[in-house]
Amino acid sequence: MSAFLQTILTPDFVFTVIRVMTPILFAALSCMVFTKGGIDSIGIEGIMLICSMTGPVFSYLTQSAIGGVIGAIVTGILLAFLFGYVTLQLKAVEILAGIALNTMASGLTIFVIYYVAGEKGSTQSLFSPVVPNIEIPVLSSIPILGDILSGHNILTYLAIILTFVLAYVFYSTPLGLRIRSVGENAQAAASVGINVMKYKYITLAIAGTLAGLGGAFMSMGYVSFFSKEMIAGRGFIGMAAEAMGMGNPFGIFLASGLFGIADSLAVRLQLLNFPTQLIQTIPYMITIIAISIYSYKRSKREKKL
Amino acid sequence: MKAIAKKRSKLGLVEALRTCVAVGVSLLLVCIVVFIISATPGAALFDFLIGPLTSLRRFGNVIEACVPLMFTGLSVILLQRAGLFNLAMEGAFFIGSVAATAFALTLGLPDKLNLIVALIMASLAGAIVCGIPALLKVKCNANVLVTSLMLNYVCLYFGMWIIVDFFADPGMSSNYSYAFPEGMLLTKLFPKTRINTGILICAACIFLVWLLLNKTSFGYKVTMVGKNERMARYSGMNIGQLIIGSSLIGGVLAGLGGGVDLFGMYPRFQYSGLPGYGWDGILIAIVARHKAQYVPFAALFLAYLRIGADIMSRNNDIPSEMIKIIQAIVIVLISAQAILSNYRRSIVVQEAKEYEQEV
Repeated sequence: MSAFLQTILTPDFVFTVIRVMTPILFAALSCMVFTKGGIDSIGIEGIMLICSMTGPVFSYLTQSAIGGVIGAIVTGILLAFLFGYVTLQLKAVEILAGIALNTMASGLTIFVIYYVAGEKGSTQSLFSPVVPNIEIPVLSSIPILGDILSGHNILTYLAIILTFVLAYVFYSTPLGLRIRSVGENAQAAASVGINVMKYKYITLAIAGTLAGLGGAFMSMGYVSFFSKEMIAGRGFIGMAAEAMGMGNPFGIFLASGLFGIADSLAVRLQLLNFPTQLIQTIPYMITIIAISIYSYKRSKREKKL
Repeated sequence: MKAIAKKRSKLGLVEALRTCVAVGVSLLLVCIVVFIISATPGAALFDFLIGPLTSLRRFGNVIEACVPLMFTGLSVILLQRAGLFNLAMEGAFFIGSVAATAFALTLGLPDKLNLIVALIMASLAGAIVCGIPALLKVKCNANVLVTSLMLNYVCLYFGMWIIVDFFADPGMSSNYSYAFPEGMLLTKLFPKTRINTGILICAACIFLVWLLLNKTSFGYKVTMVGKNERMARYSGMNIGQLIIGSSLIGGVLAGLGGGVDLFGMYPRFQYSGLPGYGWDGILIAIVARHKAQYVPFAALFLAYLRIGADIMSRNNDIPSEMIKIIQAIVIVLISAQAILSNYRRSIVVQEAKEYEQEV
């Protein structure tokens, strides 16, 4: 037990948690925007996967990390618009269109890197600049706190800042209110003169941007190249974190943190000879249980009303 | 009455047409992409479209590849029948193979009996997996989509733990189990191919699912729940029971599929991740328009394309992953209600007028 506590009660562990939760936080924030705008978010897994591929490719083509991140964001927005076109204009079932997007992503990414990098597995052979980690002045010199909070990737700080920005946008600006009203009751929103289509596409653009950043972090921050299927369910976990955080940006932040802890714990406990695979089930089990408890309480509350 | 029957068949025609359009458009796109990218487009397309027919072994591969697709396709039809998006068939298929491996290697019964017991256990394991999200939906109102997605990962890691910690063959790579006794494998039906008795089990399942959905009150009730839950509730049906029941049967089919595929195609357990047949099942169910009797055709379609793409990627410069892009386009185009909607509307209007005149 003491060996267990020694491994987790370290600044290093908390630092890892923040690093591991970053892509999940991006995914969960993106799912939050989708959900607030009344759009199903299952396609996020595929959007993130394609963006994690276009990030390094654009970074390689422009030889700049900013070029790569912008490339990933633009891809994210375009894919979200494609999803919007298919579901809003062609009236495809949202969940099916999302699943189709995920299926396409796993094929398309391999297809593209085969032609760009010459191999099916990864873009390791391409020299692509990555997004740097930064030391924060003053903060980095404080003991322990500095070890935990300083030296993260720029995109990690961006994710944390965006949590606050989105909280402000959705609860304190007309734009946020309109997106939420379109999401909750599109007909009612239309009846008071809100252009539903316009706000659906704004929702898609914001959600696509966030998914693009999450994908870019995976291949330009977490590691320095794209490898196939590298999102590995993080988009789905983002959906779960969104549900667990009850659609509130700060709740979502905490839920993502919980996943970060569970995931980092799995890695640490492997070092202590616990059965690896069994530990890897923990984050998913926690999610299922948490969502069930939360849903149970909510449905009970709703029955009382 | 006559007019109503006629109307049904004509609207079915629109659906069939939409399916054909989707398949045609996706194939056309492939041809265009191949012509742009490949250095040898003619040979690539020949391999892709005709390749699977060029030898008995290759065509055998197509039929073999159909079996797991048909099982998960049937599973998806049942899982979605009650109107829920339960995606646990992916985990159920995987856990089915794990359970089959575990019981095949531990029971030590006579081979054929052991095979039957292992397949039953695979089905039960699958049923448990698909039953969990349904149960959580009914009891806690938890989002099926999210819980089933998470459950798939639990299945993956839990299954891997069982294989790696208890059944791994130290002489092989870490996720390979010990080999099954020779007599436990499903019997091959045709020489030079791996087509086996699994396809007969599959055919029986297709018939039983057709029977269940079309000739029993359970099938009728589940369909009613999926089409109009309020109406079903109003007419006094036990919605929770129907949802859990259809999910359990869907899980049985997925788990059994995992077991049959394992004993039919492999000498030992050797998956290193979720095989993806569950997701394929969604495409199969859509192309088959959620009817059990069309499942073989849908599976044949996907299996043929997949084997064709494999042959093409082996001989040419086109990666076989292209097939996933086709899958995506087919799913979107078939589920897109706007396509052919004007034609559909005109048929509805025309038939309504005919009906009025007759009355």
